[in-house]
Amino acid sequence: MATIAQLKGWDSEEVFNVDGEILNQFSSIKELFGNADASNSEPLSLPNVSAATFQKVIEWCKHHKDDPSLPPLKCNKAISEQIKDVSDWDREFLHVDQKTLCELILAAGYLGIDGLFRLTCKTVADMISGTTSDENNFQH
Amino acid sequence: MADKQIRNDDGLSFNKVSDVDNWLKTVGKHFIELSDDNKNRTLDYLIQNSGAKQLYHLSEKLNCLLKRDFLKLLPPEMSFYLLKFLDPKSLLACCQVSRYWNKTVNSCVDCWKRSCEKIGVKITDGVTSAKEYKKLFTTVYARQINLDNGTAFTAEYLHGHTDRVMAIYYHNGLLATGSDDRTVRLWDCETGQCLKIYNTHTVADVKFDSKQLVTASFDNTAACWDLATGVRMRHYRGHVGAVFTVDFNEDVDILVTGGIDYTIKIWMFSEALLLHSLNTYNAGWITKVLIHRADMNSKQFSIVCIDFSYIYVWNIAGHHKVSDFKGWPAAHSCFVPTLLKHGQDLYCCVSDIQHSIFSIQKNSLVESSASDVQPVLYPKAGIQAMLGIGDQFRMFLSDAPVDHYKIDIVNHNSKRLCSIKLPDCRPTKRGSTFTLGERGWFDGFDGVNDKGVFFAASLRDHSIYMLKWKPRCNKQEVGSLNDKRSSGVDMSNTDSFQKLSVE
Repeated sequence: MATIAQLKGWDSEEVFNVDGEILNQFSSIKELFGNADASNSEPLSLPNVSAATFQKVIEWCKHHKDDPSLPPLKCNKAISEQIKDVSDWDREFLHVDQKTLCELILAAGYLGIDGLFRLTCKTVADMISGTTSDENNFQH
Repeated sequence: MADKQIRNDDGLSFNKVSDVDNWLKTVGKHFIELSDDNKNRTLDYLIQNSGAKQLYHLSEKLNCLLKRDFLKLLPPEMSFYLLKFLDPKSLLACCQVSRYWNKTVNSCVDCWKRSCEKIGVKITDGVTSAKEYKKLFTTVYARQINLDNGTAFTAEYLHGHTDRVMAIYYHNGLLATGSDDRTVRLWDCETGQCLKIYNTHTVADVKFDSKQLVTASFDNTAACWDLATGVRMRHYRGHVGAVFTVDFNEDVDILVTGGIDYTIKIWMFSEALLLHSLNTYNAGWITKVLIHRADMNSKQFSIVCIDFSYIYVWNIAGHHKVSDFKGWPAAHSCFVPTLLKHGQDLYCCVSDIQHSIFSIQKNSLVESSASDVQPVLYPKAGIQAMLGIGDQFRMFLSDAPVDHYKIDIVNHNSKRLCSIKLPDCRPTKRGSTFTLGERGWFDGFDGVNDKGVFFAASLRDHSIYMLKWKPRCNKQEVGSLNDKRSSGVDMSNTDSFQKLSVE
């Protein structure tokens, strides 16, 4: 698949070539590129995503590119019921420290990747639930 | 880097602080060049040679390095989304993490609204803010914890009757009980005082409104009594067997009776004139009859009655039968079929294999989705009767071990909220010896509808057993619980929300 967008993190000059399949999952920025071949234009810098995080995001998107699209976020059904099982791959993928997890949530939120956003939020929620308030003392 | 926090002052004698810095610089330079494995080994080595003070320092530092305050780092809308994944208990715990968390969690309307829905709160239109939702949630949640641990009700025993009590009816804070001692007693539920004793006949069923009291009797008649004076105003004579059940409606001026002679009789209420006598072909005792308004907007009334195996529906205007349903296998005759009103529908819970529930809509009988209400909780032998049904909750009377009965409240997901063991009550196959009190909460708790009478039943010793909702504990009590919590008592979830309700 041809590269149709060039993106880079805010903290590095490393350029990521993103093809259409992956760009399609970035619901909040895909409109910027349309269908034109953008390989020659200036790479777009993502103000809220670091290069390392973006690398992870792309890894996730590659693995999930064939997923069926999710129901809209504002769905009446209890949200925790919408994600039944987290696959082994996802579990392994999210086996990261809290700093990375937090950056993944932010990146998924800004880029509009519903699936990853849900998954990461649920992961944090699972960390929070079942602990007492003292244990929950997350620190800055 | 972690190694820099571990300062090993031993072994080398440094004269100045700058010497330490220089030494560290050299070590740090070497350390950075090591492979990951060797870096870890170095750290292991340092940890091994650290004392308690250093390890404590390390653990403090690690928190800062590894842990993240997600709610603080994420923008509010993302935090709110994240919070949606949490169950109510965790939300309450989150409120106690920090001032910031408290503020964030407390401003998430969706979270509390969903929590309310989850536990069966009836949400009225006035509630819009997160604060109101949360207050509602904590109020109702407190009540449900009461239900769970058996402290939601107070029991009272009403003494006075001298023979078996076969009829019991609750209306508007008053309880009427009819007995074989040929009296009906009217009780004030709040005080437990007997307000009035009516000298009547033997009583098989009793109903009353603000003006009159009607009774069905084993002496083959029904009667209407003045509620204030106790004078018998009308006597409905015509049945040739005991009258088991009676219902009346002043708007359409009709009184309906049914009983042991397999017939249902429709009377002019104001004149005691027999209008119609309807036969059932099944030759079964009529155990329950109801005048039911099928549609709130129209004046369409129907008469619904049941015997042990059929449900019949008559159109009141034409006095013709519009519908009947061949009932349930007689094998389960221990079950008391009950007719229950729920909104405009009428439900009949029968004990066939599926525990079907039927609703009567627009005069005809509709079998409602039985799978919806199938109580997974109950094996088919368990339930004796269904006592109540609403949008959120259902209540069943079921067998308890050793000749006892219990009441079970289950929610719409068939999850049991509470189970109350009853004293030695007198069950009948007609279900006339127990009654519900206030029923509003069946459609969901709204924070105020869980008060007054919950349930009443007649016991074998001729007394009346009455369960009342315990009044909500007041602020002071909550405060004292709160003190207990903060003085080092293990914090259970019960206490944590009580603390919150004070804040």
